[in-house]
Amino acid sequence: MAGYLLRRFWHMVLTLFAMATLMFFLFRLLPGDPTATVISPSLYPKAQEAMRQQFGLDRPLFEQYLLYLRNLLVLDFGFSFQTNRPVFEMIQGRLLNTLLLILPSMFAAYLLGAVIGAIAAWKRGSAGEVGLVFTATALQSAPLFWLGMLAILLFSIKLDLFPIGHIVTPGLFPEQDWRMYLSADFLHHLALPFLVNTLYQLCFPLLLMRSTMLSTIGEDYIELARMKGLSERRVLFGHAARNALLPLATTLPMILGWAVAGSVVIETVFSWPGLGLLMVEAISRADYPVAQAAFLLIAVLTVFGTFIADLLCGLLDPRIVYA
Amino acid sequence: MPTIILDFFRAVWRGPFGPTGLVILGICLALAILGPAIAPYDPVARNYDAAGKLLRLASPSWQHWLGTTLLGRDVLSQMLVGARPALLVGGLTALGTVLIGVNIGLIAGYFGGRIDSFLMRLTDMFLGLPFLPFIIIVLSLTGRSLTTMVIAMTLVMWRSTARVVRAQVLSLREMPFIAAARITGASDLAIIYREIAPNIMPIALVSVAFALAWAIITEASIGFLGFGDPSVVSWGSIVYDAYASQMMYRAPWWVIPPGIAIMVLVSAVYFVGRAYEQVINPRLRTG
Amino acid sequence: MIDVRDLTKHYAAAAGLRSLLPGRGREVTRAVEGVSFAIGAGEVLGLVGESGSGKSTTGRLLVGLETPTSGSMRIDGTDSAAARARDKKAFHRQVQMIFQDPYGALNPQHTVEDLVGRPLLYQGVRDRAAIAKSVRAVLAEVGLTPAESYLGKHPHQLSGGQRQRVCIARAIILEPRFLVADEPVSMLDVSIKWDIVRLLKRLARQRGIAMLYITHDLATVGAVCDRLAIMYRGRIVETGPVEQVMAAPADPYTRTLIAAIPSADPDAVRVRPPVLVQGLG
Repeated sequence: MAGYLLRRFWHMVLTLFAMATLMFFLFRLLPGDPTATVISPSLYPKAQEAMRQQFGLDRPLFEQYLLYLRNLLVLDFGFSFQTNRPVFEMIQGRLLNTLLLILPSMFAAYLLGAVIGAIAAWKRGSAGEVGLVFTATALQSAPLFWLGMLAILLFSIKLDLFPIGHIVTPGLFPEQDWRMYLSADFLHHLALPFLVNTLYQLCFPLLLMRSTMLSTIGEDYIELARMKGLSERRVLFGHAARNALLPLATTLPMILGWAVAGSVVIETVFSWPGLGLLMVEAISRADYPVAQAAFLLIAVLTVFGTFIADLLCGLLDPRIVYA
Repeated sequence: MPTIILDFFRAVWRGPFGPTGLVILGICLALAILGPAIAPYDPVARNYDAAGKLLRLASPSWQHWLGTTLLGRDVLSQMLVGARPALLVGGLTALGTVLIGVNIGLIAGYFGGRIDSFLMRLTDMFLGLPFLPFIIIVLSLTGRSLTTMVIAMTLVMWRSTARVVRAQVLSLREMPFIAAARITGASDLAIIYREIAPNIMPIALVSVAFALAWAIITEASIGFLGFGDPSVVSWGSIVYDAYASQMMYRAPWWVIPPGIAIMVLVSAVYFVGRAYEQVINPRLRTG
Repeated sequence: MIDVRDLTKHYAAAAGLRSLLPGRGREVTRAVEGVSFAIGAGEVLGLVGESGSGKSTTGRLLVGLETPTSGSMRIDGTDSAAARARDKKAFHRQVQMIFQDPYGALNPQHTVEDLVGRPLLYQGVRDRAAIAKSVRAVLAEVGLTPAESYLGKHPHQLSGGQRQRVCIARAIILEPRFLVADEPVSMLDVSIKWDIVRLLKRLARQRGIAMLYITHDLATVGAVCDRLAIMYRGRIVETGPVEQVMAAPADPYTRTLIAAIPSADPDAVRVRPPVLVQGLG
């Protein structure tokens, strides 16, 4: 077990290293001027020259690369083109905002998805179940940004139940004040993006839970439970559901990865100041240091989330051998 | 190969959802081909009323069935033209995804050992790559065009196909018919492409369907985030224009149709994919 | 014609924790241990043993699916390992195999015509008309007539017996000198078994093929084999003409094997198992 953990951890580090490398070469090699992504074009020529030396941009590419890795390790992402503030300062608060939106939402989606999926399997063949499966497939097929806009149109504009966007009412709290996370205003802002994201994300576990449960119905142990005279409900929820939970859990790493990466869309629609929105804004303003740092942080979240979810699956499934 | 395509249609045609999906896909395909020809207006031309006034955010009428945009453009025409990039980008990405994914899965699964560990490590790395953010970064650095979009999307999507195919190859590799081919002097390449590949075609087709669904949604998302090809009107870019104009909540006719179109098209792809999956995987048939 | 000498195959046992202890070498499983025999053209040698005795491994070693730890096989005096290294395809033309499981041994995606013709294709024959002609000829030879009605069928449309006939056709289309039949009838219905067994015997005789007939089932060996080799724990413990081994087994293990034959099988009456007491005395 300890060996497996260590090896899996080592893979994670390796993956992150490869991604950082990929980003370095993407940003240095793709644009015309290799320094354009590191030094703000708005600076005076003298300041530009000073930065060129500071970041080693006058040295060979390989040395630049080593310097880049060193800077990453000490969390030095350079300075924003836009604000000239250290990038690290700009992204640290954003990470928490993204997690506060995505994690509770994924938790709720998996929980609700499993329960509703199990009920759907129980009521298989009924008109309600067919309608549910149809709706879930349609929801899953809809673009998330569009669902968010519809929700705003309906609940914020027409019904005036929720604010249109942002994390708190602007001006209510000083910037980066932790007390805002404890306010009712924050929850009020969180509600709509949370609901939309949860509704969208629960379709996958719902459909998977239902089909896995249905596929176990023909299995011997289910037949045995039936022959023992257990009620249909006991058979399904006691036996079939328990065995369907595992395939559900194994998809968690993948879906968590999708959700973190997809947060870009939901944050944009709801002007939620998370990493995704920061990245999109930074790219549209050609603020490359911020964009790169935001991307790397999203990548760390994805990879780390996958790692944790993998371990959880291992705990759930006795068949996975830590060899 | 043609028999597999024929089997595919025969299999999908059985359930109630499969044919529905196929018909919708057919309609979308027709639109993708004919869309620009049957669009009543130029999708980017400004339209004026009888008095010569620009038709800003006109609600649906007989002249403009789906109303107009802030710049007086006909939404219906934009919708009709927007089918092409959705299917083109989706289709090419799905094709690229399957070509790369299937080959990597075949090679990793068949040869095993170091080749397998290397390829799977590579796959894991791509699996950790945040999907949408990566594509956006690549697009912003290389310039926004449909071609780069397809390449960037293919680059991050082949990974799941490769894993599914590899798992299948691992079990096929141990089948006696592979040994039977080997002792007739078949080369590794012949075994991979003549003996194993036909058996993973069904799984490859399912993964085409799911890749297509994902690619269409992703193309729209990229368009919505404003990183689509600026010269192309797509369903995603229609929503982006509405969003960027800040007027979307005053003109539902501008925002709702593209979303519905994407939803219907992707649902159709899912229906076809699931119908086929149930046929090739009897364990799912009860569902 | 076929001369096997001291064929040996050791597998490294799964490295348990114990193998790490000092003074312990890696443990090996001795699957095949110094097996030697010879088979003449048109002759059928029965290799009999229980599961795990190494008989199937012997078969896989001989056709080149696995590499022996040591030992050799000569075909008409030529060392087959050397021949295989020199020209892999030519070696595979001479040595073919029929598998136990006719369901798994046929690629489900191929038609009978593909299945039987593929070996020629893999051997580099490009003349499609010639391939088609050979396929029809061998199908007729294994009793799948009229050949035309089988060409377009997929394996799932055939019965177990028909599948095994397709496997046999595929094995003989390359006109091999040596054929390994690994439990070819163990998965077939009793009613079909004897047809397939007789077919194999006829093919060996008519085509002058040296055949190694691997089985755990002594009931069928009388109908097909000329000689028997009894295998136990990787070694051959007894060889001899089939009547002699069946009537007067010399080795105690052979005796228990023979005693276990179900005598109710009507087709097995030709060779009656000896009374055990007599053998022991």
